[in-house]
Amino acid sequence: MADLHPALLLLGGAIAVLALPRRWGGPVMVVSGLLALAAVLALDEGATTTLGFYGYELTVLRVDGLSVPFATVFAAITVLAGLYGWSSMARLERAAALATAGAGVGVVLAGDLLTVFFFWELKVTTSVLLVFARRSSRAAAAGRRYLGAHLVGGASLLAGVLWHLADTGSLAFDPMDLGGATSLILVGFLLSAAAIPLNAWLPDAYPESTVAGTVVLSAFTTKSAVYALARGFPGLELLVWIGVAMALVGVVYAILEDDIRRLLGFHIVSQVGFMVAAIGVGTAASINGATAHAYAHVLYKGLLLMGAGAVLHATGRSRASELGGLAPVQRTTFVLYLVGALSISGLPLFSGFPAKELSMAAIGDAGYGTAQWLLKLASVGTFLSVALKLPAVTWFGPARSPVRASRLPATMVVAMGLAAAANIAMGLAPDLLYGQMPTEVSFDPYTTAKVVEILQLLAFTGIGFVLLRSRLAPKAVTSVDTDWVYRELPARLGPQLARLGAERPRPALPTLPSLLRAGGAPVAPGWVLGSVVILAMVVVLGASVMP
Amino acid sequence: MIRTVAAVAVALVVSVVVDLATGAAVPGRMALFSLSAVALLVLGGKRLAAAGLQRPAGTRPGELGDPADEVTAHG
Repeated sequence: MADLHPALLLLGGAIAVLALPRRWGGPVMVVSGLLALAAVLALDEGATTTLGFYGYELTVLRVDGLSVPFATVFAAITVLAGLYGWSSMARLERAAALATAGAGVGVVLAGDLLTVFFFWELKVTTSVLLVFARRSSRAAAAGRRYLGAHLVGGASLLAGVLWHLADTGSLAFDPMDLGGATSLILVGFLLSAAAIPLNAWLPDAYPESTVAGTVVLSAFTTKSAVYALARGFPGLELLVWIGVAMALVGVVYAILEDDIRRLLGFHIVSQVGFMVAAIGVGTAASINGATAHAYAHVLYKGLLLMGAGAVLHATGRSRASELGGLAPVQRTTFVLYLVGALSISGLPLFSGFPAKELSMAAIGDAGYGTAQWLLKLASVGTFLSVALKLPAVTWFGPARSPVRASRLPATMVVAMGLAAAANIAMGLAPDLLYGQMPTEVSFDPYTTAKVVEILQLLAFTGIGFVLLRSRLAPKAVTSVDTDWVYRELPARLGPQLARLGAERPRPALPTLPSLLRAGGAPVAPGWVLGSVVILAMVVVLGASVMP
Repeated sequence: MIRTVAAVAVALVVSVVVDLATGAAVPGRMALFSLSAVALLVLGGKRLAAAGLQRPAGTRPGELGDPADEVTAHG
């Protein structure tokens, strides 16, 4: 068991889902996730598996303190997403989810840059199918933009890896100094982390996926990138300020956003900003903090998106301006969502408290006091938008449109219940979380000073919300992000370029059934990989002719 | 209005008392910080929204309404 790569179990599960009748899909996904979780927990610290590849030795499996917590929570969320989407996921959607999970686990257990790139692109290729799985023109357009953004990121990553190999002769995935080649690798990682200003693909695409697809997307793409940054660029000071910018910009958009699933998408940008900032600090404590935050975030953001997805599943709507008054018919969903909301807000007794306190203390202790206060400002916005505004406009107040909420499948509620239990368990017993961190944690979050400080922050944020609540009344609006550059600027430059950002007619959509009918499913990954390789070659050749 | 101001003032006093009792470095700091932060984020955000950060729904390229969105949201 020790040498069995957990990603193989998830990728095997993806194949099994495609081969077996649809009714087996739910059980196969859950069992695959459980087997992968068992395989991760059975891995021996320090174990490696190498593979020869055209004269290079690739480390396809590296087990250490940083990779294991990410692999563990990736396998755990696969189980929860499998339960959540038990009755709603289509066959190819479920296979794509399992393949995305396998690719995510592959990234965090990879010991060399080429293996990282392989799993990275597999993750992009399969995760975009989760966006297309919604089968709407908006999802198809958002999926194309998602693919385009990640194509650029993948090309940057591959170009950087090849350049790095040419410079150093090494493919080892270890901490790197910033230079020409590693800058390209960094850009590839930052794009996948949705770092400002490369973030627009995330709130654009995630809310357009299916209810279960969004849960899967939220777990793997940005958190794989957080792992990659922690592995490759710990202590890079630039990341501290990129992270702070992400935390603040994400939270401002979230406060303004009307679509509740897009609101949570902007919050992924914000929360990943906390992790990126901690990675930029680069101390052992801050890497523990970033890892703890990522671990808890996978679970509480998964729960939040499950709650918002349950609203969409039951009502067919996700805009706050069309919701309201759902509490009487969605009490359980509301309570479970609230567990996630209090976790992300860092309330004591919930998972976000020990996770955030660990990373915030490490940032402050390293002398980044300004960054620490700016992140506290973002924390105010988090509680304001996720725990106060979103519940107030979704489950309370008047119904803003005639909405009839249908009953949720029991497996959806069970999945949310398990995620809520995990968040409460880690909040009550922080050692459950701290015990899995890369290095030993000797931090106690439950001191009087820390508890009083966070309670005051949350209480006075609540008072501020009451005072300014009328300013946060939902309106049917849409946010303009940095995607303005490729969605609207072309139209201003000329009619030919305008087609780049324009909506296309439906027949052109690469819907899942059409992909399958046309034999496009095998073609799509090849197209993505081919495009990435060609773009990377252009970059490498360009770099090689530069003086 | 007066009752609201009085309630906030009482909350601030309680906060200062708690900080004094627990030996916080600057009593009332987190309370004032949080209130200011909410005002900054909400009012500043609204100003940014009015300056072009937000537009009426369905007015961006690629945001055309699609009846399939409603139908397929459940799956």
